[in-house]
Amino acid sequence: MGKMIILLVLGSYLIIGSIMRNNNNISNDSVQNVVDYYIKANAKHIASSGANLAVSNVFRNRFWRTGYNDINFSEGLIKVTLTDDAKLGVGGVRILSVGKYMGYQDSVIVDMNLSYYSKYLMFSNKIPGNGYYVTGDTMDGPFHTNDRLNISGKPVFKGRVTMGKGPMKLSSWYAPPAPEFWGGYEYGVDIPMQGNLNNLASAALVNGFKVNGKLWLTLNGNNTITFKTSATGKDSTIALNLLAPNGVIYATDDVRVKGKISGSLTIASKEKIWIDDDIGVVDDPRINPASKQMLGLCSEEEIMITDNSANNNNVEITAAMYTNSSLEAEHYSTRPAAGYLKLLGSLTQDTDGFTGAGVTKGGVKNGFNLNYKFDDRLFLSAPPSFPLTDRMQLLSWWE
Amino acid sequence: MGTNVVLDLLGSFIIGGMLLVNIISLQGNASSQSDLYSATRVTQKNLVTLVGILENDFRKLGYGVTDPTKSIVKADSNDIIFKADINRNGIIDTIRYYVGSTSELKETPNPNDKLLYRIENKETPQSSNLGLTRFLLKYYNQDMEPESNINAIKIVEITISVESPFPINGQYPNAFWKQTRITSRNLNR
Repeated sequence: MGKMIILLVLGSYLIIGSIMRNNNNISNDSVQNVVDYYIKANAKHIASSGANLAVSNVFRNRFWRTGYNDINFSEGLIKVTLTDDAKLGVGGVRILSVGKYMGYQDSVIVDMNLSYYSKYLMFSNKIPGNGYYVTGDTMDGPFHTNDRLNISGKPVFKGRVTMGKGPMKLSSWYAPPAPEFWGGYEYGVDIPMQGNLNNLASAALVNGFKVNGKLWLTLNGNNTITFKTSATGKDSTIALNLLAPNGVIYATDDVRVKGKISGSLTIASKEKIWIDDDIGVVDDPRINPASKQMLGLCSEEEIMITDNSANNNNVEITAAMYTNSSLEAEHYSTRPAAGYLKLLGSLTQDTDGFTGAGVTKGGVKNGFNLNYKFDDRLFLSAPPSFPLTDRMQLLSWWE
Repeated sequence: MGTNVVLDLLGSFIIGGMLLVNIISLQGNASSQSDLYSATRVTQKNLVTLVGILENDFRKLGYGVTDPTKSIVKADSNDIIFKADINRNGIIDTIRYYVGSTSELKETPNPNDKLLYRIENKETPQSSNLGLTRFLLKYYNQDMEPESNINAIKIVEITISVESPFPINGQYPNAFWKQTRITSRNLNR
């Protein structure tokens, strides 16, 4: 009988042990499930941290290619490699960050390149102290100023806003300040303007068209350009790819321009550019967003909207513009009300210029009301040899 | 066979019987607990799987989209449509997540579970029953303020509850929730 009780006790121990072991296994499995998720998440976070460190270094020094070789980070390892990639554009670099943690690894890929000034709908180096953005002003694209932004009322900034100086000057003189920043905003971003356009002069000299003196250009609505180099000179018409194979035309004096081009072209001047009529491209990006045609206007002095009959009833510009001075309307305070200055593209200028005067609720009494819209294609591309900033930009982040 | 032997046998039967009853009772409890643990484990795995799928997609939100402010097409509390080059093949895809109604899962005893659908471009909606009982999306701008303007959204908060589709002891005790705020770097270019 003693033996039977011993057998019963041992048997019960075996059964209870088996049940407990089973329950423990299930319990351990549940914990392991969470631990596995934690390990994977941590490996991803380590990889993201490595990418952030590398991006930060490239922002500070765009030539930084050192990377990291299995450095310790958060009890894991970071390996970062940087590879130049011309397919990403000028200064293109691909960052591969691998995070390792407890035998698991994950990676993040970041693409960067040098940014064009044309990536901003509006880039103003300086904003006058009395130059306010007010209710009714809408910036339908990225905006940058190296200055302080003055706000009164409820202007809407649909793209990302970056400012060199902060905080914003908020005033109630027009209306209580309540700006909307759909794309967010950031202070302390200073992007110097280029002092000259020598790179465009060089490009025009090498494989484009360079004129020492004034230049009159008519874009003929196809791939040809009619030009002359004096007011009384004879017109010459030639295909863009023959006149300027690299798409760059440069003059050391004023350039007068009108019409539309079928192709990509940058027109640059060491002095002023005069817009004598509507200008743009034939393959309109509003109709065909995949259009490859782009027009650039770059001048070291003002870009002027000529006061003439063609420009007295709306002016349409489809172009990326860069001026080391400002965009202005000729005789802005005395010319008649001329409707809207419609820009599809981007405008980089040193200082906001005058395009109209006598603002009333019904619009301006003289010159132009403004209607600026960003050309989305300019986020990642630009007209030929368009000026580049010295700052890298984040193109994409893959994780 | 003497009286002592009979008493020994009776005693051993009584003791053995008590042990047997205890073991059967223990086995019953353990079995019930084991079911509970198993259901918990399955539910937990379902949650981790679901979160893994969602995180994988949402972290790519806006990848390859030229204008980051146009990455989100629709942003409702349980329905989101966004753009991203999800396969990294140079083609922008449209991804949609939304939840079905509880009536779609009448075959499971849990009255609250529903299907989470994922649609990539114009493909057929895909889903699997992982015991989802709650899928709530909230949207924030860069200042972490609730944002209703789809162009200004920078952060997406996802809340998920998962329960066992089948009751254990008449209840669905294995509810899990996961709340995470996902910021895709592609929205902040």
